[in-house]
Amino acid sequence: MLILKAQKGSREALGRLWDKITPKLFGYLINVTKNEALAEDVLQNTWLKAIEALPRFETRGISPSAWLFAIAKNECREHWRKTARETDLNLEEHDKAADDSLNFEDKFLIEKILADLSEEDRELIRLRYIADLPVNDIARILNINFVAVRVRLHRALVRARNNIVAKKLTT
Amino acid sequence: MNNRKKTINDLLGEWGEKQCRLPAKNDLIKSAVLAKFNPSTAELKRIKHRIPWLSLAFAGLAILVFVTSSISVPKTFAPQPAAQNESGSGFVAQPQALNSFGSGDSILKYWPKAESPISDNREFLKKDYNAAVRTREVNELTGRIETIVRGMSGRVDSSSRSEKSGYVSFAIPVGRLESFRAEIKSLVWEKFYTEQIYTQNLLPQKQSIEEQQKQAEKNLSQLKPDRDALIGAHNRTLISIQTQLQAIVDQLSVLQSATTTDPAAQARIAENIQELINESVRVKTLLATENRDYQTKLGNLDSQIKSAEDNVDNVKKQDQNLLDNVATIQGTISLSWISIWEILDLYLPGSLIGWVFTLAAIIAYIWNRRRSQLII
Repeated sequence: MLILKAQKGSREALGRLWDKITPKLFGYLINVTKNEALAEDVLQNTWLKAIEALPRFETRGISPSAWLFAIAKNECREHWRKTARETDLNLEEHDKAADDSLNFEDKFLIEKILADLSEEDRELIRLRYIADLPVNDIARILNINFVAVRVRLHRALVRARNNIVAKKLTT
Repeated sequence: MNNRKKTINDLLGEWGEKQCRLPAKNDLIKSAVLAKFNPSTAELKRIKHRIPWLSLAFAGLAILVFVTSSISVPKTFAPQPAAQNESGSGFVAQPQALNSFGSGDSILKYWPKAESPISDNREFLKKDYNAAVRTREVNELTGRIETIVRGMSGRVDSSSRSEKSGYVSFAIPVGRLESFRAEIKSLVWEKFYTEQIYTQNLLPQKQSIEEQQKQAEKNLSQLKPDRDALIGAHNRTLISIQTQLQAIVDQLSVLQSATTTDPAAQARIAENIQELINESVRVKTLLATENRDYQTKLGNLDSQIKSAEDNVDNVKKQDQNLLDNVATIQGTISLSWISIWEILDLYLPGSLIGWVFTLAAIIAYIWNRRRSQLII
């Protein structure tokens, strides 16, 4: 396990952990903050906090990814508390950095899906599909029961699907 | 066309993957972060664990409470046998010794304690039933118990009810005891019901009654022949006396009918007549004495026979009372209101406070673990 090696002082293991987790973590932060510079700051702070807390990390019941996402989420919350504002979702800004290889129709659909969902549901979808975390880890990060996560995720997807169907019918 | 076959899950999965990317200044940020990493302190700090002090404190308190409660009196609630209130205002529940409750006293205490030989293995079991019920609906349950008593062909002797406590004193036939118990038990959960059934064999009392009955019947059987003998003797005496009187009368009539001019003969006849008259008076006196004595003796005997018959009747009545008493269950049920706290206390082994501390210790431990894992 890379995390155990890093805990034992392996810089190389920590570097590999960075390479493994950072793409998902940065994608998540971009999606949350809608600001690349801010996302980079939060990313750096997250890793610095993680390094500081690394000796205390225990692998029981939680993955390093989930741990880092929890720290990142706390960092975002801390940032918004300090700036006392939350940026509304701007879809153009939001997907500006996304890969253009996603075809236009799918991209349009995803935009619609995200726009119609609540912030809580968007957070669930980010953690599930960008961070690629299992339900148990999402439950830990959001501090709710894993059954509740399953149910809320399922409902969010149902709502999203219904929205898509409704939009297709109207067009 | 192909996109239409994709599920929402596929779309989002694809979208999630596309969102993943490295920051533009990845190398810069990475090297800055790694520069902050100090391999020597990482290993040293790793052994420092967050000690769950709060959890340990609660666990310690829980252990303390459990140990303390284990050496104290176990928690129970017992039925309270009934006793009549001396002020006459009804029945009140009050604790009594195990062997002295219920109306069984009325018959039990008048007999001296006796031991019966094992050769007589008859059983005359007198039962007293006492129960204590804990409930949150005292008023309603008291009413239902009264209905059950009446439904069992029993009678309610006294009852009282209030919001917090209730009491029913009753009597039911012995044959209905088991079904009555089953019905009462079905009213509340098992833990909320305790009962005490006191059973005593009234064989010594029964034997005593039988002994008295035997003695009374023996007396009666002796007195009746005595009376017959007295009557027989009296009749014989009467016949004898009447025979004597008849002889005197016959002799008198012979003498009085005798006619003679001889003065000496007349004098002798007169003397004989006088003697016969005297004899007649003596015999009549004897007859009167006999009759008086007879009446006195007969009266005594009749009185004794009446007394013996009364005695036999009394003993039979006592015997019937004993059998009726055995056939009757005297019982009391006391009801008291129970709080949620007491319900928990009844169901959890050991002290409830101990369990609360245990739960607090577990919660504190989980909180500590989560905190050490997630909160930075």
